[in-house]
Amino acid sequence: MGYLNRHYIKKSVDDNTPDITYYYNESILQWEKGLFDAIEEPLVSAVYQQILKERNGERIESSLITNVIKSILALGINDPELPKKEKEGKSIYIYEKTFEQRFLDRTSEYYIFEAKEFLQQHDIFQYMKKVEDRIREERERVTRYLHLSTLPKIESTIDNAMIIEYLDQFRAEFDNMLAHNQIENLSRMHHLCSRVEGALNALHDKFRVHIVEKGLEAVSALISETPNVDPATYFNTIMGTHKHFDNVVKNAFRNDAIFRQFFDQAMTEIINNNANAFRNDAIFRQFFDQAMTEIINNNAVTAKFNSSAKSSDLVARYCDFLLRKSPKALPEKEIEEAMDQVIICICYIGDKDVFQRQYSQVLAKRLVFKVSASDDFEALMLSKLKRMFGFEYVNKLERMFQDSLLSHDLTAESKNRVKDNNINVNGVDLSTIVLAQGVWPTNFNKKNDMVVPNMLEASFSEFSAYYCQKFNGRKLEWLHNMGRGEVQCSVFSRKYSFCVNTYQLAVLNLYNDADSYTLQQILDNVGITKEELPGVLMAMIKFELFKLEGGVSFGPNTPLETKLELNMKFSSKKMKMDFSKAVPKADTKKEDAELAKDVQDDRIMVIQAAIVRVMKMRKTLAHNALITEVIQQLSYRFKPDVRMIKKCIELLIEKEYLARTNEDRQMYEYLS
Amino acid sequence: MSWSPTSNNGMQYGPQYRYASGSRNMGYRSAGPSAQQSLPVKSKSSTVRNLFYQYANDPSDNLPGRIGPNGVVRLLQDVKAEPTDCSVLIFAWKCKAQTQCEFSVDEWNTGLTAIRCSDLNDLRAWFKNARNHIQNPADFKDFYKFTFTYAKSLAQRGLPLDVAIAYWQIIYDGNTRVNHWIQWLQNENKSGITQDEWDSFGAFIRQVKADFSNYDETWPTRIDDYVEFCKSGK
Repeated sequence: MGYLNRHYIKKSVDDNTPDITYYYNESILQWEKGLFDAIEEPLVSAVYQQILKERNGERIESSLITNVIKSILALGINDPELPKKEKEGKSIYIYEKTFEQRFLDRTSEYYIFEAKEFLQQHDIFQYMKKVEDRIREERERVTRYLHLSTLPKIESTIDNAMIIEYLDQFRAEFDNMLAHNQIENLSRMHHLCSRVEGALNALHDKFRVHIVEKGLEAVSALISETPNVDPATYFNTIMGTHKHFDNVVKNAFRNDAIFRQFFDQAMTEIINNNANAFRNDAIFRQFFDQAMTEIINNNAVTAKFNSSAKSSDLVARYCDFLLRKSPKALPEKEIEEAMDQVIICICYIGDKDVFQRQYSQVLAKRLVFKVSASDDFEALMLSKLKRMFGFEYVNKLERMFQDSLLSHDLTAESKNRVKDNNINVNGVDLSTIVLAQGVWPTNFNKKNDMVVPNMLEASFSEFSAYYCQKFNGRKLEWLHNMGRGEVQCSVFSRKYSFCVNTYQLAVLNLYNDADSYTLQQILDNVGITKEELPGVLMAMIKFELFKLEGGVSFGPNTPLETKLELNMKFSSKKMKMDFSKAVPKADTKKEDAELAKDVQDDRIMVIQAAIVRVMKMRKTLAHNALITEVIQQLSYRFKPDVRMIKKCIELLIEKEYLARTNEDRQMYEYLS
Repeated sequence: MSWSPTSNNGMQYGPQYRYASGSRNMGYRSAGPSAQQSLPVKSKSSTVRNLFYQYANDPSDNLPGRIGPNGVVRLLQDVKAEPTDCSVLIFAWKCKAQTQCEFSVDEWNTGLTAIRCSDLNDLRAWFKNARNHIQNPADFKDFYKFTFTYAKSLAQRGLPLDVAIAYWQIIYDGNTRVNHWIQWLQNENKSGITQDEWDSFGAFIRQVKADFSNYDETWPTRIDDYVEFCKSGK
């Protein structure tokens, strides 16, 4: 018989002769026909009964089932679809035909029933937990004694029976869960929904809407409490929202991936599912980011000030608060953490170039007025900005900071020179900060014609001489509008000292020679304009160091013939007074307008540069493609207006960098 | 007149033309006998040249060797054309003229060769039907493009608004869409017209339907504004 099997039968099988098979196949076939077919139904029923028992919590002898399944699988050897020479264990057709289909049908019935039953007595959260448990059990069962091919089928059976039917109920609870920050439930729901294709999509948007709602609510609440928004509170409100939902994303929607990983280790699917879970996570994050962007660029505060630049302004001012010398300053160790938060926040700001300008404005003031808390923190903040937004973004800011550092040395060296050479500078102790042109905000670079008071002249010209000798060929201009000084006054019974700006100092200097000048005389002698006058005099009149002739009150329209008299009866409880800080309101408004113009001019340059860059590379490009590419290139700085890009394209055509092609006026070509 | 003829051409081919005001006796008009002898040959090119010198060197123009504004005025009277006729611009185009109201002898030759005219009769007939020569879209496009360079002075990059409008009126003579555009420009926008805007407007009238249904976002912003204005129905 062994001979027959090896030669005759092998040959017949190879030749595909009908009705001739190996002895083993033949005997299996006989077993199938003679025995299995007859008992198939009760057998499968019995197996299912056992499984049912197990599902209902009883202990069963699982090796019985294992053996039955094994023998059913063994019948697969006679699959007519397979070539006869194939060895055993390749086909599961008998398993599918006799066992699996019935098993799945009954399972489906079972779970449909269970879902209904369970939900009548439990809430949705318990239900979700139940579903999760069931999925885990079934998986485990398949690996224990069924064929692995059943796994995807049984999972989708459960999905159909217990999840898809109840998606609406899940979604209805989603807001509620977010509102109460039920991380565990959210995570479970995310897990269940991620099993069903498309089920998460509805959640994404709900999630975004929810965050936006909460964020805007918080900002509105803030603005109704304190109409004059304080940068720190505003910032903390925004970042509070961020932190809260960041936590949700991390814990509710990512734990899920880990959770799965734990149970799926043996499965081949793991990579796919895992990737899926992470991808979902990324999508949630994206929606989350969108929501944050929406909150920060468009909320009650920006609406109130009618400008989305207000957010970045407040953030810039928050930075100023962090980095400025102040009794209210945060403890040092909290500052760095706050900086990181600021960086996160800036990422969401649409117009990063506006923020850059605003930051440069507050940084300039800190550096020039020497109110920065620490050079180290300034440097740290700049390096953080640089890491996030690139070299170009912080280039000017860094150069400003460098100017300030270098100026420390210059001042010291100049002072030494004065001391060593015994130069008479009227006892003026001069500190200078030399600003590179084109780097600092434009309002730091105003032409002014102040007549330098004689007592300052020596020290000014001494420094100029020193500087020009040290850096041959550089031109030094004095920005008197930025100067500050402290003077002592020996007119009154007590020796007061005043902090004043250079203009005020020049005015005070006049009164060394006389007790009264008309306003016109002051303008002429000091060399300032009528518009600047209120800013100079207001504080000194308010504190009654000066008074107007006949006690008239002072305003921008006071006639210039009015005399300003030194108040000989001046007295104050404070020995030291600061007149330099009071800046009239109009000035800040002007600053805003200037800022907007600077930003605009800057953008026109930056957009043109981007267009040229793109066109240089592409040579010819269609209109829409060009616009898209430019927007994309600039997105790290700001969101350019399409109209503005078109204007810039027209400018470049005019300057003959580009031309519309002859054949198609939608195409541009680069002219080199 | 403080100048004397500098151009050799002027001496050689000086025509026998007497100015209408003609009592002034200009030295350059008395051509040498050799020139007179060449006249009976009446080669086409020489009649063209002779015609040129009927209008060139007009003393009130002070442009030696060229037809200047006053010469042009006389020419237009002779061919019975109005200065604001499109035909005049088309003639300038055919001559590839560089400067408004002026023709050099080369431009004159180029032009008259191109339109196959050699005497005033030819010219009169041609001017009457000059518009036929810009019926072909490719010709019109070239003519339209030419007008921009012709109309602007060398130092300028763009056209002053009033000049641009004047030329549009000449070219499109009464076209209602163009008139509407001009009206809008006069109300809305005072800045000059760039070459791109000029060229684009030509394409705009040619390609874009009156209801703007095929208008897209590739047009210059000024035309965008105009279309938006039209759509807002004011």
